[in-house]
Amino acid sequence: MSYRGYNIILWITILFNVGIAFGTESGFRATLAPEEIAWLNAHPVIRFSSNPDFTPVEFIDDKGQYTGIAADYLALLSKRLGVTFELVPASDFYVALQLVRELKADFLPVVVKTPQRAEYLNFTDPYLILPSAVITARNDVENWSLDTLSRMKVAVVHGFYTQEWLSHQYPEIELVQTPDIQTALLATSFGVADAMVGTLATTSYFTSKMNITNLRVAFQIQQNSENSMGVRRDWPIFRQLLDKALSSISVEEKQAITRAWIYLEPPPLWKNPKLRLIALSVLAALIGIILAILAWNRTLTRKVRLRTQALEEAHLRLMQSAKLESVGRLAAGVAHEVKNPLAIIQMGVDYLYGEVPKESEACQVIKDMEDAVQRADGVVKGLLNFSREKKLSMRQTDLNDVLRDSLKLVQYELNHHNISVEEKLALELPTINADPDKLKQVFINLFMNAIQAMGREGKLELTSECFRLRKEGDALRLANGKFRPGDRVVVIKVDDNGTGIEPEKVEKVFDPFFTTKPVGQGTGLGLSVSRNIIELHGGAINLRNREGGGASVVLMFKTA
Amino acid sequence: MKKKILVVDDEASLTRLIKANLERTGKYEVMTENHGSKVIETARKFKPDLIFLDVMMPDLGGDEVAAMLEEDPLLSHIKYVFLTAIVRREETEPTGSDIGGHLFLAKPVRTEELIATIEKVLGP
Repeated sequence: MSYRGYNIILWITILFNVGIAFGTESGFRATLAPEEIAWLNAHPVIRFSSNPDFTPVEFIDDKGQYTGIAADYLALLSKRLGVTFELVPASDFYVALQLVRELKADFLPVVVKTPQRAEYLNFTDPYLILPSAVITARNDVENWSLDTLSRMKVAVVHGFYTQEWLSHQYPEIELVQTPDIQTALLATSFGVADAMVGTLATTSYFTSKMNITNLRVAFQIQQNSENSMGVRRDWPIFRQLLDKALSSISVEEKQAITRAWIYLEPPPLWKNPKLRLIALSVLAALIGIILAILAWNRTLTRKVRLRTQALEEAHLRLMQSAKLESVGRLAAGVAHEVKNPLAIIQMGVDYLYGEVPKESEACQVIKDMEDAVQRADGVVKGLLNFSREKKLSMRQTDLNDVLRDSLKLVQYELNHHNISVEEKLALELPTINADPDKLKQVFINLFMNAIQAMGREGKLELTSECFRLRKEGDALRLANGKFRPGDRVVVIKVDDNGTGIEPEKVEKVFDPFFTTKPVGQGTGLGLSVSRNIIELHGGAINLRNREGGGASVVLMFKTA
Repeated sequence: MKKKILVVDDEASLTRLIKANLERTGKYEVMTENHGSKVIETARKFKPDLIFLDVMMPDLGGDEVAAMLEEDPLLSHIKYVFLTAIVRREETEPTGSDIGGHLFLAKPVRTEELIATIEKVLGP
């Protein structure tokens, strides 16, 4: 996929995540009835009061701000309902109750439903379960119950509902009233009181904060643990709204709020919905980035591969020429080392010629030795030829002239073997950039091969022409990939009607040391050297058998 | 009057044989030298008409010897022909090829080629 594709996916994922975040808030408003929405619009600011000192559930911090678990709930509700909540401060919980009763405040965020309070308050469904616990420093807490407390000194915070409830339900318990939770905890910790009763949320908050380590929970009291919001009785719609809003808060959101305040255990980060959203968005972004990197990587890999290929080819070519260079040097060394002994043998042969009578058998022996020397010399010569770095001296050359000159040089052989020559040379042949001497060498080689193939009697046909390469056709195939359709080429053909080449050997004719001649004749280097020369000219050479018998060699060069 | 030929090559077998073959014709007096460094000394003593000089010799190359000959007033008139194992036979005609103004003969040479070269250089 392209860069673009990955980009689009990335953005869609991001927007989707953002959309989810938005949706939760605005989605709630959609569930409200029109009269509810109208009511909210008519009451943009709603007053509430609270217990100033019910840490960590609700309390006023040193900046005068309403803080705590309930405050976090209020913040959520404020967003969902689209209204502002305003605090009407109270010195304690009972004062707060009174304020709502007198309609100086509109609701209480944290209040336990009691029959008495129901006279002036409408309660939402309980949303905050805050169990109380009996806490003690004593060790013998097994099987404790409220009845066990009967003969004990039990500390309670003055004004808390627990106190009211205990004194009614369990009058045998000796209640010790303390002004606040902290004092109750200390009293219990030091053993001044046998136990204390308090909200688990609050007591655990303070034992952590105060580093009190010797207290344990004897048992929990489930009664009176359910807290609701209490709304003034003349605002039924608002109570409805609060219920709806409270039920829209997810379990995870609730747990997150509670855990943030109650240090029972650190909140598992992965449960935090906000964090989840962020994590998802980050993940989506990461995926997008990774995909983009992968795409970029792929194009890079391809580029690197192409570059490596090119480098490898260049390296190979370098190695080839280095090899050739060392072969060249080797060849020179070999040549020297072989030619000296050959020179000695040749001289020896010359000497022995003088020692034996002519026509004797010994003389024949010596002749054979001389032939052998010449053969060996030929091979060394061919080797030098093959490996020698060819330095061409190029100039604009008319190949017709070169052909004719070469023919002259083999005239004796042509006559000797009774070979007729048919020249089909183009009247006007464009010149090509070439080394005429080297090309002469090639033509002579081709002519000699043809003569040898034809033996006694035969016809040598020479053709020269110039044309543009067509897309299909014979000529293009013969170009060996060196030329393209549309290129203007000069083509030379040397055809004989000799024995031709065995089909399976046609491929090999240009290989060094390949020869079809009988042993002792020829080194097999002629055609390979010829091909080298043609290739140095940037041209192509091919050999094929002709239909009527014999061989055809085709040379192709590019011209302007 | 026999012509005096000095044959210089590090291969003793070769020089021995060339000497035998040339002297057999009765036309030449031949001396051999196998050390490039001794050529000047030998040439001064022998006073040859022609020197055959091998190019690749271990102690002193033929071209260096040639340079020394040319600088020596007593020896600079002497004609010399290089013998080489490197140059291709085809590049040298049977009577020596003129490469860079000097005559080269390619090994392996035939005796008749040596003789033909001597006659070309010194006259018949």
